Amino acid sequence: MRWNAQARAVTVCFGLVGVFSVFSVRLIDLQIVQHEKFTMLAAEKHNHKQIIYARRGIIRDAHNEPLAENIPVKTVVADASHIRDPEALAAAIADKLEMDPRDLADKLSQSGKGSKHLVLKAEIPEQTAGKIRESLWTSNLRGIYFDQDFVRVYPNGQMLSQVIGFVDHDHKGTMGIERTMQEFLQGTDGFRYIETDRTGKELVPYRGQESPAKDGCDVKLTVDLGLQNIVESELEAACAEFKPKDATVIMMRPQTGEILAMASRPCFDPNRPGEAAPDQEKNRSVTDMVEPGSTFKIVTTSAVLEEKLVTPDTTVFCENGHFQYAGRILRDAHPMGVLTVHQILMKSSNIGVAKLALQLGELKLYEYVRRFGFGQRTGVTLSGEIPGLVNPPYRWSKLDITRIPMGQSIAVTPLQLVTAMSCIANGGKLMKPMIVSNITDPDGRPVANFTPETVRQVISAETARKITSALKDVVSKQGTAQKAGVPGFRVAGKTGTAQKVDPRGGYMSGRYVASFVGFMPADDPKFTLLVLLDDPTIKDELAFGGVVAGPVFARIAEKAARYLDLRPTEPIPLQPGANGLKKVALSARSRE
Amino acid sequence: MNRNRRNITHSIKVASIFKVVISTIILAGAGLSYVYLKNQLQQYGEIQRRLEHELTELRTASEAVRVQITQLSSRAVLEKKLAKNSLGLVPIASDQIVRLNQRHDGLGDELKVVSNRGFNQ
Repeated sequence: MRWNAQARAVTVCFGLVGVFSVFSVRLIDLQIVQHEKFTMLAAEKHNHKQIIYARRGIIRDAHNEPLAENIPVKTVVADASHIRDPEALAAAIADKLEMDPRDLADKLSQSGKGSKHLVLKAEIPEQTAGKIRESLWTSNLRGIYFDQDFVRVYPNGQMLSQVIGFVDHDHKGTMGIERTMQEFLQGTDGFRYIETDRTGKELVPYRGQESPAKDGCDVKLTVDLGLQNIVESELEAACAEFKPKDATVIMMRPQTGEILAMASRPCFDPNRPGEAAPDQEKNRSVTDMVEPGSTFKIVTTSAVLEEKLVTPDTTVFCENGHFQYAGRILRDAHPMGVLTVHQILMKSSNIGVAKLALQLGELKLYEYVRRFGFGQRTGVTLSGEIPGLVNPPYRWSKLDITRIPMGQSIAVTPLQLVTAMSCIANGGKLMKPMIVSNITDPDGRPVANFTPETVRQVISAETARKITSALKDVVSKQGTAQKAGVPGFRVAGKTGTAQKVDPRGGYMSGRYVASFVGFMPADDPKFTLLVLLDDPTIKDELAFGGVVAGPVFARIAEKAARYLDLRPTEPIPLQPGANGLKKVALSARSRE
Repeated sequence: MNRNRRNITHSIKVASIFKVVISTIILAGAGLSYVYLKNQLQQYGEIQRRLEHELTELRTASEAVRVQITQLSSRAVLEKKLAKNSLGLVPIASDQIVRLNQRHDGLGDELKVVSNRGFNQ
């Protein structure tokens, strides 16, 4: 064949056909045969699932004052595939991240070897993130990105710390309201599938499926921060004065069971939970149990009056302070002869109340103990609540019928005690303690409203009135808690001085739990208040509830009355003025 | 004869050229429009991304400032400042408070001329 034009053309044509056939085969191989593989590779490199974080709900007090908030922060992440010059990048941002430039450069150089993304630092403030961004922009560097995050902050520090609790690193509540309300507070994170270019910038037109974040609900408590502040400052002062092992104060609205204030010592700062010892984190109001001592006498006295076995004027011989029963001797703090039932409560006679219990019988006493809510969880929305310890009568020793009425051989939580006293203040109606008032969604729409819940009518209103009458006299010159009195108001309450239980058996000598639980104003109670100090440092002869806890009660109650703007019901005693003259004291009665 | 003459005629086929040109213009126009629109989409996407980012940043900054205000106006901080600045505030004693009862009989509601003379004596 001659190598003419036609032959050359045919050769070129075949050549081209051959080349394009190779291209076609490769194209078919890439586009069809290995389609899945390359799609996956591309998606892996350029498609990302972007998390849209939900904001955790805010916890507020009864007046919407924030108790737990979120501060937005950033997590600094390095993307190895976008870093060209690790040294320059490290030099540009190391000082802002408060890191050593050499360490950071090493980290950035190593970042490509393991995971492509490397977290450099978490929880950096927004301002710092802005400065880093600016620095990267001016240096024309890339490879550093920021993930949105938040840090939970508690603006009031230690105040109410054990009630609110705190969150862990995964933003999950680990105790207190943060834990019990986790389901409502946490919200639901959203997501968005995005595609990025080679510089890591999102290509918006190729956005994929998207689901918006659902922010957490806000939780409103029944706690009034004004009252909480009063309680905390007075508790702090009491702890400084008596140096107890631990201490608890609870304030409750008796008609509804709303907890107005709750504080324990020792406490911690929830903004730095890592520094807190387990002992400081305990909300002793619900997690600890103590022998209540004489405050428990209200149960036995209520029971005998309710069962109409006695009247307030029925007399009981108190054996002059020395009563032998079941081979053991029961003593009173001061020898007493014949007392009325009213006086037994007023003077806190152990023998008197033991005799009343003997008259009542084991089964009835146990029934009333349970009816007042002891031995079972109150159901308050606080984590770690225990039921206390109330043995059934078949496990009682022969001695228990005389010991339980005076608050021994039984263990209760401080919350149970204040709830029982609130029952007396509320005309015999036992209310379920409540600390969460309502839950609202981020737009303020109500999700759940918690209303006061009556547990049961424990005693009649008439019996409650009789007990209140005796409790009013407790806070008088004849009673055991004169120092718990508040000028201008009638206070009803009961002291408690319980010997501390020795873990090895028996009771510890010279170590007491001093308490006072009462309500004010006695005839129209606005709050019930419990002050409990465990093992106060004080002389043995002064270690009484009325001496230790009574004055603390009085100081808190006086300030609370002022805060709540309660109208005095009694004449206010005259006090010497600054110029030495007596000032005119006006009572509500004299002005009307 | 006519057929042969027609075959050797080199007349310009205006209609065909016109069709090709129009088709080319349409195709080119469609192609350019597609590229233009794609480009626009990209640009608006970029604007959207930037605005979304700005909005998020502003919201975040606003949230941070709001929390800062909450922290600075919290009771704990105010109490500390009160103690630090020692303003000398003293709680009013109970016997220094005078409560004025509102009359329910309607009397005393009318405005009266009062004098403060001698009030501070």
